[in-house]
Amino acid sequence: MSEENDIPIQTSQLLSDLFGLDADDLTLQTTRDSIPAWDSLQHMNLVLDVERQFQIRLSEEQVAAIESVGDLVTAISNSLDSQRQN
Amino acid sequence: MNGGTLISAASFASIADGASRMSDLPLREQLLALRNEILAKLNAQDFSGAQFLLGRLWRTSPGAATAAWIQRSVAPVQSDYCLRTTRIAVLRSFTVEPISQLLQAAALTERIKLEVYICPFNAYAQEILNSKSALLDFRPDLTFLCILCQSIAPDLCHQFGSLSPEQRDQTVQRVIADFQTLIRSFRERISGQLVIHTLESSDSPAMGIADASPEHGQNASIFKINQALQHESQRDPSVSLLGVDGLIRLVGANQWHDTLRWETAALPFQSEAMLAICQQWLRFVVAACGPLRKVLVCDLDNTLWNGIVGEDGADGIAMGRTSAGLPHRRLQQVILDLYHRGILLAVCSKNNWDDAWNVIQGHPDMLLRPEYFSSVRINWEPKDANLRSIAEELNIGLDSLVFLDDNPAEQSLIRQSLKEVRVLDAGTQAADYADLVLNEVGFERLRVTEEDRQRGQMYSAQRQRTEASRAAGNLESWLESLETVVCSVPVTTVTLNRIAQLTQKTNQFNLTNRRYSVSDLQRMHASENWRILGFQVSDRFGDNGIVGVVILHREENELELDTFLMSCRVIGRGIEQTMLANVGEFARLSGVISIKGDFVKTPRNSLCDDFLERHGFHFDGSRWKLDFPAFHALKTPKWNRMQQDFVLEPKVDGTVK
Repeated sequence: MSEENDIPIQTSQLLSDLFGLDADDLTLQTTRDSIPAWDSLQHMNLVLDVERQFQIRLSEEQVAAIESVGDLVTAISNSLDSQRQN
Repeated sequence: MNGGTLISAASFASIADGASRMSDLPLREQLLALRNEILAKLNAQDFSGAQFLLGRLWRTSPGAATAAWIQRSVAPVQSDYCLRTTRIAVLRSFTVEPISQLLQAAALTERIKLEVYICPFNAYAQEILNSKSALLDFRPDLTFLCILCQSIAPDLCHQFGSLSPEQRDQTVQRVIADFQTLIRSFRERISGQLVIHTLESSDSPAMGIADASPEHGQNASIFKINQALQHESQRDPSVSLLGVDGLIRLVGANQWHDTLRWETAALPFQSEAMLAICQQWLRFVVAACGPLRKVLVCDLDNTLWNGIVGEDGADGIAMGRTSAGLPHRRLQQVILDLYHRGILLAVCSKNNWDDAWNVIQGHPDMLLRPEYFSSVRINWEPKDANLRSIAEELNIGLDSLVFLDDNPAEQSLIRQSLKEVRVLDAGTQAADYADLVLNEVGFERLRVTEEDRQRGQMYSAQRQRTEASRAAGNLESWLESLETVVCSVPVTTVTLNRIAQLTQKTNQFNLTNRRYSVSDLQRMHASENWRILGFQVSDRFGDNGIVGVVILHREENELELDTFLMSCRVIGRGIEQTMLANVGEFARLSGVISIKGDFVKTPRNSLCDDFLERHGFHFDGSRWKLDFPAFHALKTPKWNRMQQDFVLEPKVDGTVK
């Protein structure tokens, strides 16, 4: 279920569940600042869900660098890529 | 897969209910369909239907996002949907907030609304010891005390190598004393259950492989602390332990620790670990505050065994050590454990009685034999009617029943017709059934008492008695078929405890309702004017224990019935008549001229309204009396056999012979 082209869809599904948003309103450009409920606790929850769903571990640098939906998608695909190379 | 783990989505032919056509769809679309069904059921106020599907959603895709979705979806109808509110407090040394969010959603799948109070970081001691704290004001039903070893005893975790043996012992003793102080103060100030996480042992002890040798023992030191916690829990039933090492084993240490996030965010666990803790917490919440389930009702064909006995024959079904049989064997083992935990077992199967019963009685691979079942329905009646009559027979509410059946049509019938019954979400894979039963949180108990352990046996004996009564046709031949033996037992410390308990608890068949403590009874027993008789009843189905008590008081040449009582467990079998005949025999041997007694009427003892009169006593204006020689005529009913463990003889020197 973690096909490459699935990542944006799955990610926006997670975000829309977590914050009660319509998935169609989310784009890769949507920023963390524009979603008031996306606080540090929910950020942690999001990371934990992503890690379980995609079977990856994100580094602290990656976690801290996520400022938008696009950043999150990039972090996931980078992590999947480096897993594949190993 | 192991108990306590979550069931994978693969075990469901289709996740969306009643829509097998969707099984070909990708998981994500099945989940969407499932969510839509949940919303529709919530909208239609079909809360038990919604609960069933919410449970399936949670097992299929647990996590923070699903948790948020569940909470949001239930919120508009929460007060109608939830059947109870439970208040839990968490005293912690690490970040528990993500677990708390998961737990609130998991609790909703049990229709429990959770109120959660989380104490500030590492403030557990202040919260407990301070006589004015937010914790006290919160008044939790259940409190989790979760402290990591690295928080309460960092030197045991990280500097173990630098400690001298004396320093290690000092640390161990200090931590034990700290815990004891916390437990005592908690108990003084707060009611409700306290659940303490045990300290986790180290994966990489300082001395490496030498850790197992006695002079090093980092893990031995941690174990000593856990042992002391066990001791506290043994002493006080309101203190329970959550065995963290067992949980780590279940999830795998590789998926448990997160040392980096512990440093950066005080989050010591990975996401799988948090889910496992959440599920374990839910078990404690339900075991402590309900709703408890008391009976497991099982189907037979393709549930307790592989195959259909009516078609494949007893030789064609499997429940042994073969690939077809093993899943069912494991299920039977799990169910057997429930039986010993005090959960009652029942059978509900569409079959010819003989076909199915012969398997239960005689198939060599069957683990669950007739004596484990409290109620059996093997017939062709609709299963909802059978479940109703099982609940009636066991005198237990439908909401205490859990139903396990491989057939989706039967599951659906029960879900629609008996909404209170918990229907297990059994799919097509028998290999999942054992886990399904293990994951039923309503079967958890904080503690298993001796009474729990005996419960199944007593109910099953009752079932066999009823069956015998049906087979016997009329009452008298039934009573005879029981082969009842009434035994008068000698007074000892053990029997006096039980006798005191009976005087305190018996209300229905009790002539005088006098309540006695053990020390009251000991004083009577020491006096030559008093005589205590305990009656134990057994029959061919088992032993009922001591169920009757007579206390006699000799006043000159009269014998007074101070106490005459019998447990309602054996009512309707002439036991009271046998006991009275025994009193008559005693009166004859004592040489008294009359037996006298009172009947003290209460709102609950109408069962013995005419007992004395029926047995020839007459009322002399103040008391009931039976004079010499009328008491010679008191007889044991012919279907009871009286047995004396000691010589029934009046005390001359104040002792029992």
